[in-house]
Parts: sequence; structure tokens; C-alpha cells
Amino acid sequence: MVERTGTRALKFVFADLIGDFFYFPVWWYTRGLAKMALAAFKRVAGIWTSLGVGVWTRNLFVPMFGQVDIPGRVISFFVRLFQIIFRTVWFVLAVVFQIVWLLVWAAIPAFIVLMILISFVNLFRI
Amino acid sequence: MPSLSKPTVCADCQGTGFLHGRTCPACHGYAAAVAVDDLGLFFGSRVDSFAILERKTERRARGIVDFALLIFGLAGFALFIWEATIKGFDAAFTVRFWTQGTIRIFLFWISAAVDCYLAYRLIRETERTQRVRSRPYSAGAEPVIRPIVWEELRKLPAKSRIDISKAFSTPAFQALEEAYEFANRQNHQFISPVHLFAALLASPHVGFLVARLGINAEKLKDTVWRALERETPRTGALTVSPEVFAAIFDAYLDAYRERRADVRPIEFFAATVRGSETVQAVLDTVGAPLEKVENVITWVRIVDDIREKYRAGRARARLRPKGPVGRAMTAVATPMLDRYSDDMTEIARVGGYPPFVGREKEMEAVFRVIEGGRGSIILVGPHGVGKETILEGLAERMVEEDVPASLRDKRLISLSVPKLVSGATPAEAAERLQEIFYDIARARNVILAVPNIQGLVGVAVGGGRALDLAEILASGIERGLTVVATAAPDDYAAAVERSAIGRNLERVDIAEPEGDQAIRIVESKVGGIEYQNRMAFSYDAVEKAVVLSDRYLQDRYLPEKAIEVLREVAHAVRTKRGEKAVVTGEDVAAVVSEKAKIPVTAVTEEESAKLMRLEEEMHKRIVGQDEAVTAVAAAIRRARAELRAENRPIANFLFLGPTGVGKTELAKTVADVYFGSEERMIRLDMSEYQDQASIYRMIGAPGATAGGILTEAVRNQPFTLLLLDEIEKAHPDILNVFLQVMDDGRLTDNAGRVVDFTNVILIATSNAGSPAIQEGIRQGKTVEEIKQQLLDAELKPYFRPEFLNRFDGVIVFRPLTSDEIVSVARLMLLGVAKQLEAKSITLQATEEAVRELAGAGFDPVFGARPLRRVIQEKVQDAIATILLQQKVGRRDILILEPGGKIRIEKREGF
Repeated sequence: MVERTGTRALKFVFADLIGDFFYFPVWWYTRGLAKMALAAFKRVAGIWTSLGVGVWTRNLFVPMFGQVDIPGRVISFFVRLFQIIFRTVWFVLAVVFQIVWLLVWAAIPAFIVLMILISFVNLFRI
Repeated sequence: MPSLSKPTVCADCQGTGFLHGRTCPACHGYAAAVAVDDLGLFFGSRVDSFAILERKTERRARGIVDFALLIFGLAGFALFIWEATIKGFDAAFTVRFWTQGTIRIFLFWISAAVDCYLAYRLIRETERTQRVRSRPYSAGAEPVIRPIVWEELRKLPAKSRIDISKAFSTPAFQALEEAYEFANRQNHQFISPVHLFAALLASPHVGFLVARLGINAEKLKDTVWRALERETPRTGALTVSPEVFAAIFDAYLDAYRERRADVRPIEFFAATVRGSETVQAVLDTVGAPLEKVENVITWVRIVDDIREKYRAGRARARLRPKGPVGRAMTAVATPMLDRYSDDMTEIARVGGYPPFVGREKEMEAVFRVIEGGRGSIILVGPHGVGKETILEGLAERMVEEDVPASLRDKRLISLSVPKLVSGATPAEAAERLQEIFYDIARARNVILAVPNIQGLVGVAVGGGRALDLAEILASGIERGLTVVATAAPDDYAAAVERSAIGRNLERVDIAEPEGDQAIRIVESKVGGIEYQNRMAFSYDAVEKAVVLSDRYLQDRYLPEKAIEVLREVAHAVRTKRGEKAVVTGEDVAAVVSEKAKIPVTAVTEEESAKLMRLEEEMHKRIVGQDEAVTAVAAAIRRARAELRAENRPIANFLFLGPTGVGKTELAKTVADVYFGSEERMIRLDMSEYQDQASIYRMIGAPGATAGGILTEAVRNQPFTLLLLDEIEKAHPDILNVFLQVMDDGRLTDNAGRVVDFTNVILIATSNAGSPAIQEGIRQGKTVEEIKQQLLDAELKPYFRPEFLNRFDGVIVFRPLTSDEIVSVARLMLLGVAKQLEAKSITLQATEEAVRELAGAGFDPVFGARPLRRVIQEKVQDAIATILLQQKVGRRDILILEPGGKIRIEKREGF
């Protein structure tokens, strides 16, 4: 019991406290990054569904509002085309935003470490 | 239900995973394990003082560290503000500002790093628990459970070896720790299910469950303590008992099978109760038998599921496009349709409908018909079974896009028949309908719901051979319109079935939900009532509402009638006990009692005392006839203690005896005692039903829509005493009708309605065989002997043996003796005295006067019947004269003396 308590106390201090601290950067670029990527992907998928680009594309030649006459079809085609372009752009922007967010996640620790070093060096320059 | 998993617990280390301070060599520290499907489950967290202390310290240390990190992070931000106020906020936009060598900026960057570390810690904390392994849908219906040996477990790939302790939610795990500490404090040898049960009760989730069960907390505590007295006192190290290990694994399996994310206290609680007979006994003692606990566990889960489903459904609904024209804008606006309808999908999208529970089968049937190509449906079921709810559920599912492809991206529009036909001639209504169809045909994304479609049938258009609106709708369906209509069965039979529209609609029957299904539906609906009235229903209340309304509220259907009852009860209880009260089963029984005018509440002490001396009460009105009174009183006690058979009348009696011996009087007394009033009696003189055709008067003529005299009376007043006077005079075919009533407690009238006789006390009287009774008495035979003689011989010409056998009691009334006649005379005089009491005049009678009246009123043939006339003539007439002559004033005393004389004693004093 005594031994066990002792080893476990040591394990607690070294593995859990100190080990945890050193695992931090490793986690950030492995599991953490994967987690963030997955979340970003889910958001992108949600946006894709709600924008319905696929549905619009499939219905490109279907007249809107049941206007089946020739002018209706022509107008409808162009409005749909515009909608598809607009929605695609919107979607691409959303994807770009998510990618930027991932890049920021990846850059943050490195950037902070760099800034710490610079400001540390500058501290002694004066 | 015994333990499902039966985990193997290591015999060497007794499930601690350690032996003499080292990892147990036998089980490699796995302590307890079982194999499920292709997974090996083990419980990897140690439960002992040190481990608990360690976890507690760690939790506390973690909190302190996180807090310190947060403070440091905020301080960094403050340093930035400080620096910016010195250098000016403009400077903050320069690179120099951020790289300059001041201690404040340096510390700011350090704090930024700390912030990241804090984020890492917080995210990692959520990773600490592991989801319950999600079971593949391809796996069989039930998980395959088998024991596992330690070597096999060790050789499993890491992916298949699951430490189930990680899937326990924090409160569930803490309950286990508390159970340990509790057992430790009590100096017990094992952590038993009772310790665990006691610890789990503290969790709010389980507390909610206990409140629903309506358990008295003090009594429960008491019973738990008494159960704990049986625990083994400590001799060695405290260990986890095998039952608790079983509960732990069962709880995980439960979550695994139900595909839940983690093991919550409720799963743990359910497993603990299911696996331990002691805990079941504890709960049973406080009035919560296992099946009741199971039903409440289901309820708690329903509420959770509703919340979960609602959240998920809302999330999906947000992705659905608003407005009428669909995602791809292929549809058209429908102004004409909109004017005469409600957009159900739009209402569902904004969350306007309550959750949909317990009708999955019917919904599948609807989908099957729609997918099977015959697109249009009619839901047929009585009012109140939830036809509209199924439409609402359909709208919900359409909004969540959880429907067959042909229903996706469509609108469910409910056509309002009253709006359509109001203020319009039939021709105009028809025109409106045509325009609506035009809208629908152009829009191409409309499913039309038509509640109560019978309103359209029979609105005739044009002269000659009328075309009605239903036919227009039928032609719409033929041209491809999808309709989901509803109708009650009688309306369907009368108006829809054989009409043009009926041929175009596939019938889906919606049956009245029964038992547990009804309870589940009601459980899912009462949340709203609870919220409105700020109170909670106990499980008993819900169960009673379903059971009692099913039994006592006729002509209406579940679940609606149960919900209506609960709404009324909630209101009543709120006015009586204020907000935050808990509605009990008794509250519900009280309201049902009042509505049905029948005692269904638990027997109060006062009432039970009254029931115990029921004979005495009845003898206040009935003189003699002890056997009859005892038999009837016993039947009433059986009914009130709910020991009677529930598919037969409360009791069937045949009263035999000469006229004027108290047969009818006893029947009246029963009506008064059991049903609360003499008026609650249906009296049929069977001498009026002597020919065969009279049966139609009783149960209705063939083809008639109204029922007969008997069936209508019982339908309107199901809790009643049915008195069949002089039954021997009825036609034998009519007796056959009563055969069925006495046996099954039901009778179908000629309109096809089943009338319920199970709340009826049936009493038939007959004076067949009266001469034999009188003869027997004269010969000094006992009542039992006379009865035997009657059954064996005298009644044969009147009744068939199977008819007589249906009676719970054939009771022979003796002719009254002269002493009894005196008592009857006394009772009747008491009645007269009561009438005079209103005028504050007292009536007394001397013993001789009473005997004289009895002598004059007794007739060997007519029993006590002439007595009433004698009292009328000799007493009431005389008193009337005195009253009219104003010889008597208030508070005077009248004394009846022999020879019909009445002496007036003037009041004393003023």
C-alpha cells in the first residue's frame, strides 16, 4: 500500500503535471489540429447543405415559380445561373475562412514563441 | 431482471487490480471484465480511498491551476492596456509596439502563451471521458455477451479493449465514489448495491425520478438504513461487491445498446435496481415496485429524448428554406390555397407542434402507402386518439426531412373545410376548391391535409344529380394530388367509405393506444401542462389518469381523455395547494370520481369504518333479511377493495321472495350506499317485456341510429344499479340478452355501439316460487333448504339453469315475522317523523300504537306492503287534519296512541 501510494504520487507529479506541460505543443499540432480540422469540415458541410448549390445546379433548366413559357424559362435560367455563381462564391468564401482559421490555429503557438523571443531580446538591447 | 453482463471479477485480487501492492498477476490489473460483441470491456479505474483522494485532489488542483492561468491571461491583457495608455493607442498599430523591449509587452506575450496552454487544458479535459463505443447498426438486435478470460482480454487489440470507467459521466462516477466512502464510514466489508443506491439518490437526475415516483423521502431513508443493517461488518479491506460490478457493467451495456454518449446516473440507477433484489425490496416497501420504477425510468428517458430530439430537429429545421416555394424555387406561390388553409410545415418549422411520441408504427404505415404509389391516405380513428397529432408529426418529419424521397422539400397544407364552405353557396365553394387545385397543381410541392373530410361530403353542387365537393376532391386525387385526410370511424362509414372520395383514399386505421403505449404518449404531453401550472405530475397520477379514464370515462378515447383529466387535475390542485405541488394518483382519482360520480379514490379511514359496518347501515332501512344484506354488503366491499373481476358487472343478484318483504327496498339501499343516491338506479319492469319483439325496445330496433331503453340508459349512466323487476315475466329471449351482460359485462345495441356494463350492479327480483317459500317457512325449513328446493324444482319452469348459474348470489327473502312487521312500522313512522321535523314538531308513538298499526298493516300475501297504506290513513291523514286546523304549533309534541288517537303535548314555557 505504501509503495503503491508512493509510486502513484510520483507518477502524478511527473507524468500528469510535467508531462502534461510538455505534451501541450505536441497535442496542438497533432490531435488538436485534427480536432479543429474536423470541426471546420462539419461547418463547411452545414453551409453546403443550407446553400443548396447542388439543388440549384440540378434544377438549372427548370423554370422558377412554375413559369413554363419561353420568357419565363429564359429568365429563370439566367437567374439560376446567377444564383449558382453567387452561392458558389459564398461557399468558397466560407471554405477559405475555415482554412484561414486552421492556419491561424497552426500559426499561433509558433508566432507567440517568436514574439516572446523578440521581446525578450529587445528587453536587454537598451 | 437479473444482471445482464455477469462480469468476471478477479478472484485473486477481488476486483481491486492489485495484490500485495503490485499489479495483480492473475488479471493483469483488469480487475473485472466481460466480452460484448467483439469488444473486451473492463473497469480500469480503481475505487479505493487513495484513488478517490487522488482524484479529488486532482480535480481541486486542476481547478486552482486553471483559475491561476486564467488570472495570468487576463493580467496579460491588462498589461497591454497599460502599455497602450503610455505609448498611445495609435502606437498599438505599429510593429515596434509589439516587439519593443518593455517588460509589459514581454509579459503580455508570455500570457498569450499561457492562454493557449489554458485552452489546451480545457479541451483536453473534455477528452478525458470517452464516449460509449457506438454500436454499429449492422450488429444484431441484441449485443452478444460472454465471459472473457484475462489472457484473451490482454491479447485483444487496444482498439477493442475498452475501459468503461472513462464513459461514466462525472456525476455517475462520483456516485460510485460516494458509495465507497459511505460503506467505509459504516465500516462495511463490501460496497453493496444499497450503498450505491443511496449515493445515486443524491444525483438530481435520479432525484427527479424519485419525485415522479411519489416516494416519501423520509420513509425511503428509513428503509435504506434498515436494509444497511444487514450488511457484512468489515474484517478486511473494503472491496466492491460482485453485484456492484455487475451494475457498473450493466449500466455501460444499457448505454451501449441504446447508443447513448455516456453512462449517466439514470442508467447506473436502472442497472443497480435491476440487478439487486435488496434494492428492489427497499423500493417496494416504499410503494414503488420494479415495474413502476421501470416505467418512470422510461419516462425520464422520454423527456431527455424529447429534449435531445427537439434540439437536433431544430438544428436540421434551420437548414430548411423558409417560405412556400422550396429550396430550388421551382414551386409557385399559392394565394388561393393560402386563404383557406394553414401551412403545417411552416408551423412545424417555427417549432409550433409538441413532440411526437409513441405512434411510430402508424407513421410507418403512412409512409408505406405513400411510397407504395397509392399516394392518398385517410386516417380513420375515433376522436381523441391522435389523428391530428399524426398529421403534425408528419409535418415535423417533413421539416426535418426525415421522410421518403417523395415527401422531401414539400409543404403539408391543412385545408380548412369550414373556411372553404362558410359564406359561400355550394357552387361558390366548388369554384374555390377548383381554384385551390389549380394553385396546387402549379405549385407541385403541396401535400394536402384534410382533417375531418366528411365535411366535404354532401355539400351538393347544382341541381339534378348533385355533384358534391368530395367528388371534386376525388377528381383532384385522380389527377395526381396527394391528400392525407382524417375521419372518425362512424363518419367514415356513413359519408366517406362508399363515396367517390372513399375509393381514392387508402385507409390507415389509428387505434386507441393501450396501457403502456398510452402512458408513454401522455408522459410526452404532460410537460406543457406542468409548465403552465408550475407543478409536477407523479407517475401515479399519469398512470391513474390513463387507467381510470379508460375504465370510467366512456365514449371518449385515449390519450385525449387522460390528458384532459390531467389538465383538470392540475388546475384543481393548483387552486387547492398552490404552485410547485406534486399531483398524486389520489388527486386524479378524486377528479375522475367526481366526473364519473363513482367512488374510485382510495378508501379513507372514515369510509372503511363505514364499509366494515355496512350491514348495520343497511339494516337502518331493511328489517331482517340478514342473508340478503350480508351477501350484498360483501359484494360492495369486494368492489370497493378492487378485488372484483373487471370484465363483469360489479355483482349480479337474484332476489327471490314474496311481495312486500324488502327486495326493492334493498336494491334502493344499495344504490344509495354504493352510488351515492337512490336516483342512480335503472328500473325495468320486466312484465313490459313479455313478447319477443320487445327486445328491440330494450336494445334498439334494427337499423335505428338510437339505442334502446336499456342500452341508452346504461350508456348515459354507466355507474348504476340495474333493477329488473319481476324477471320471471320477461320473454326467454330477453333473458338470453342478460346472460351475455352478466357474463361479459357488455352488450351491443342495434346501432353497433358496445355498451359497457362492468360498472353496473345487476339485481333481478322475482316472486316465482313464493308459495313454496311460504310453505317452507310454515314447515319450519331453513332458508338454505328452501333455496335448494327453489333451485331444484320451483324455478325450473321460469329460468334455465345456465341463467341461474350466472348470478353471484340467489338470495331468498323470507316472509316477514310479526316482530319484523313491528320494526317496519317503526321505520315508517320514523319517516313521517322526519317530515314533521321540518316544522319543528316532534312525533312520538307508544309501543301499543305501533303494534296496532303493524297488526292492521300485515297481510300474509302482500307482506308489509299494506302497512304503508295503513300508516297513510291512520297517521298521516290524522296529522294533516291537525295541522290544517292549526291545533299544533312549533316545538309541540304529537303522541300517537292506540285506536288511532293523537294527543298533542303543548311546548313548555314560552
